[in-house]
Formats: sequence, C-alpha cells, structure tokens
Amino acid sequence: MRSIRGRLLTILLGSWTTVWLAVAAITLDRAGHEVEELLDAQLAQTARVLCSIIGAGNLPNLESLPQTLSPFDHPYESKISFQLWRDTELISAFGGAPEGPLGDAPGFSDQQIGETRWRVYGLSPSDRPGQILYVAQSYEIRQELIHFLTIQSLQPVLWSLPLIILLIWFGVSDGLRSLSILAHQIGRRSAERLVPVDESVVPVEVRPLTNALNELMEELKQALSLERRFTSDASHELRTPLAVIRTNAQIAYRSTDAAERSEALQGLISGVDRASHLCSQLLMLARLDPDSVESIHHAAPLTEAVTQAVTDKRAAASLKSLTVSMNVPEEDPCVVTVDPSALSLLIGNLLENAIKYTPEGGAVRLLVAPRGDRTLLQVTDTGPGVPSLDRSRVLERFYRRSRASAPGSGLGLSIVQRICELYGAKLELLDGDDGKGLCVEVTFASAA
Amino acid sequence: MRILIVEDDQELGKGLRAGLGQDGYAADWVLDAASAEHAIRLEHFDLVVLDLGLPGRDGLTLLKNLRQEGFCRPVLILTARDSVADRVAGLDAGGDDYLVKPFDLDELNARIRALIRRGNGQAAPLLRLGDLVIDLGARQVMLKERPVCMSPKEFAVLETLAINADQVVPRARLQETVYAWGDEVASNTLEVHVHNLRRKLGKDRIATVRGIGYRLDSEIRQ
Repeated sequence: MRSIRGRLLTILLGSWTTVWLAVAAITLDRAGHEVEELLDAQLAQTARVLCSIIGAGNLPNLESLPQTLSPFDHPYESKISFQLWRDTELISAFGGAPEGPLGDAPGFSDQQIGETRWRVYGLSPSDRPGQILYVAQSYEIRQELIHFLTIQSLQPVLWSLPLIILLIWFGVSDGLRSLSILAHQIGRRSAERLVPVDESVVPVEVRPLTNALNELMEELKQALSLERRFTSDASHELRTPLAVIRTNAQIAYRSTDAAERSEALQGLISGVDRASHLCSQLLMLARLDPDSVESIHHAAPLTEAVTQAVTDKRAAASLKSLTVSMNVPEEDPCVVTVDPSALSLLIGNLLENAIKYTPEGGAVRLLVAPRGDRTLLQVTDTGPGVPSLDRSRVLERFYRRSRASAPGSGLGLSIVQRICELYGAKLELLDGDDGKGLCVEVTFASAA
Repeated sequence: MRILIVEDDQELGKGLRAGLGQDGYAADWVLDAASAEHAIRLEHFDLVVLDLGLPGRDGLTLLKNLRQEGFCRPVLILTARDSVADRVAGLDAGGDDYLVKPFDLDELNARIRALIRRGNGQAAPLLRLGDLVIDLGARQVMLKERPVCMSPKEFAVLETLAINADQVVPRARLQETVYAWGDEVASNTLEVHVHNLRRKLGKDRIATVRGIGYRLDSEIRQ
C-alpha cells in the first residue's frame, strides 16, 4: 500500500484545488456577466446623452461635412467610438471608429469589423427620421477588465498555495504521529513481555487496531504460559523416574547382598522404562500438530483399528487374567475421519488405561456402533472408575488420581483428548455398567 | 534411627527404603498423607522424608497439619518441584531441609544425619562421652582413641543411647530404631546387639533398667 501521508496530501490538495477552481470559475462567470451588463448600460446611456446633445444642435454640426474628432488622450479612447449616420451618409464619428457603419440596426449587437470586435448600441432619435447613432465599445476593454479581475482574485490564492501545502503536511504528520507512538509501543513488546498496548495514547480511529492487537497478545500470552507450564510439568514428571534410576543405581553400587542388588537393578530398569515411556508419550503429544491435520483428508476404518488394538494388548490383559471382549459391526468397516495412526494411538491408550486400572479377573469391553450420522466407540472396564468431580481433571496433562495404584505418565488421556479435539470427535467419561468402573465414549465423525 | 518415608511413587519409595536401610536406618514407607499421620500418631520417628506431590492431601498440607499438632521431629522435603517459591513454601510450612529429585543417596543420608544431630541439639557431629567418642557423620566409634568396629544396627542402638545419654531409653524405642515394619525381629535380637556393644565398649557402659530399657552412662559409675 502507498504511504498514508502521500494519499492524504493528494486527496486534501486535490479536493481543495477542485473546490477552489470551481468557486473561482463561478465567481468569474458572474463577475463577467455583471461587468457586461454594466458596460451595456453605460453604452446605452452614452447613446442617449449624445442623442440629446445632437438634438440641442451643439455638436456636431449636422449640416456640415462629415467630420472626425480624434483627440487621443487615453489609449482606451481608441476603443470607444461613436458614429452618426443619416441614411447612408456618415455625419459624424468619434474615437477609433471604422469607416463603414458600426452597426446595422438600433439596439445592442456584436459586430466584427476588421480585427476588432465591437459591442454596439444603435439609437434612432424619434424626432429626426433617417438618422441613426451608434455607440460602440471594443470587446478588448471588457476582456481586459475581466482578465484583470481574474488575476486579482486568483493571486492571493496562488500565493497562499505553498502555505496551505505546508499546513496540510503538518496536519497530516501530526495525525500520523500517534501511529508512530503505537509502533514504538508495539516495538517494545516481546514474547516475554506481552502487556497490552495503552489505549489512552492512541486516537479513536486506531482503537480497533489496538483492540485486536491486545486480544491477540492476550491469546499469545495464554498459549505461551500453557506451553511453559507444560514444559515445566514435563521436566518435573521426568524427575521422579530419574530419581528412581539414580537411587536404585546407588543401592546396587553399594550393595554387597546379591538379592538386594538384583532388586535394585530391576528397579533401575523399570525407572528407565518409565522415563522412556514418558518421553515417547511427550513426543506423541508434540507430534499431534494441528497443521498436519488440516492439510489432508483423513479416513480410517474403526472396526479394524479396534480389532488390531485388542490383538496387541491381549498379552497384557491375560497377565492380569482380564477378559477383553469386543462388539463390532461385522459388515461395516465404520470409516471415521481420523488419521489412521492417531486412531490406533487413541484406541491403544484407552485400552491400556482400562487394562491398567482394572483389578485382576475384571473385564474390559469394547463396542463400535453407528450413532446417528456419527460412529461411537465405547471402552468399558470394571476398574475403580473416576468420580464425576474428578472427570475433568483426569484429562489434564500429568494428572494421576493415584500414582501408587498404577504407574504411568499421566499423559494417556490427554493424548486421547488432543486427538479428539484435532479431529472433531467428542470424548466423554461415564459410569461403567451398574455404576461401577469407567466407560469412555468417543463419538467420531463418520467419513462419507 | 527410625525414619518415615512419605512417597506415593512405588519404585522410588521402595528404593528410598532400601537405600536408607543400607545406611543402618530403620525406614518405614507410607504412600499418602493419611497413612503418614496415622503412623506418626502411633509410633516414634526420628525424621520424616516427605514428598510434596501426594495424591489426595498434598505434602505441604500434611506438613502444616503435623506441625500444628505439635510434631517437632525434623522433616526433610524430597520433591520434583524445584522453584525458589516452592522451596520457600516448603521451608515455611515447617520443613527443615529441601532436596530436589533426582538426588544423591549419600547426600540424602548426610542431610538426614545433620538434621537428626541438630534436632538433638548437637551441632558438631562428634558425641563425647568420657573416653567414648562417637562420630555421627562418619559413623565411627572411638574408645580410648582406638576405633571400634560396629555393624550398622549396633551403631544405630548406640547412637540412640548416646544421644539420650544418662537417660533411660525404653526397650520399645530402641527396637523401633533398629527395625522397620515387616523386618523379621527375633524377640531377643535387641539383647544380642546390647550384648555385643557391652563386649566392645566395656560391660559397665550400658546399664539395664529392669522392666524399662537401657541407659548409656557418660561416665563409668564406680
């Protein structure tokens, strides 16, 4: 975009000039008209005065030879003239009158004689038939007068033009100064210092901009603080497995008892496993990037993913003698709009949680069924369940109801929730069968 | 010395108990605030190692409650929270020391020794009882300027007796310093330890107060 200053200057100067030119044109037109009327009236009056002088017989002598009076005292006198005709005979003339008749009829007329254009008034005295008196004035006089008036009225405006440009320049610069103040204010912001822009220093016109900016900064601040909290939580979560590793390593190092040492080494391995599990969960969460979701159209068969997950986890379930049952439509692949690997991650996490929290001999049930135009996945277990007060908290990252009952990263359900958010699925935690255990319901959008 | 570990992480709790056990402490481990409170009400502990991130009632609240109830033994806070604000909050709530995970077992032990020592009004790590000198830091015993070898449990018994020198220490209390819950204790084990101590330090050092317990005399009574 071009400069605001340039635009404003052009618009202001352009409109000012146009308006002024229009006013000047109208004024001149009116003034010219008035001048003409005045001079016409003068012509007519002069004609009548001359006529009465002629009637008194003073001058010129009507009986004498045609005579020409040419007393050139003022250069304008050549531009004013009169003629007195009797029939076709020129009796008298004055000024720069041409030789031929100045007009051809009584009343006002314009005549081009030689190079001069005349304004003529003819008058026939009623008491002397055959005579006609012409009083004429060269148009040059009128033009000069109008010209003079034009220049006079234009001059002050032309002289003031630079001053007006200067004033407009200053005015525009002053108006734009608040923009540079705003720019300076924003320039002082950084990712660490996202304080809102002070609205009292910006003009009303710029408020929508600062409002939008302040809202954006607020959002940014929240997103950043979430990120920071997540990073800090993640590193804190890593400290516990690291402490397990370190403690067990030291115990093993110092121990002289074989049984104690082997127990410590087992603890060490389990600590390393926990740390790497946490790392991979963190990576998965980081990889669930909204950008990669929007770009491609996703579709994955839910039935197949559930079957695969159950096969994968069967060994873990049989270790705790859990019954894992599955109820999926036989014919319908139930294609849902989720990325296939995200879908298997989601089902895997839900199933893993169910197996982890269900006590030995319990049951885990999976159900896939259409629900309206969407597809429902249910994972129900016979574990301790989650009281309704705690249900929103278990979705928080790193939240674990009790670390003692089952080890984990506290990220499993957060990952499930993130996948649901990204692919527009709905996640709900409900009571299991007969109000015992937990039932996790995910409603996916079905692929067309 | 008897230590209570309050830690909700299975593996870390197990590791702590084993690690402190190696250093001759009788360490007991509970998983949450309620069990910790219960244990402290019922039994004597010389020190509490407390994790802050407990399920249900968190460690800080537990600590405040314990202090309000008049629990005055040293508390060492062991936690993943490492910000200055967290440390300040922990110490202000009544913690005596603060150690951030992951930690070094030797450092943990040294801090525990220092806390117990200070808790008993002993700034210096050396206890002098006549010609008997006990170095609580190095866990060494000198008699007439000659070192005496001791098993961790014998040292634990001697330590408790020496800290409470010239006072009768009840049998049960001595038993607690040496054995954590679940340790197999033969009824006469404490007598075996005392017998060994007498053999090493001279039989007049430790007096038996019948029906109550034992007393370590700072000077051998003639």
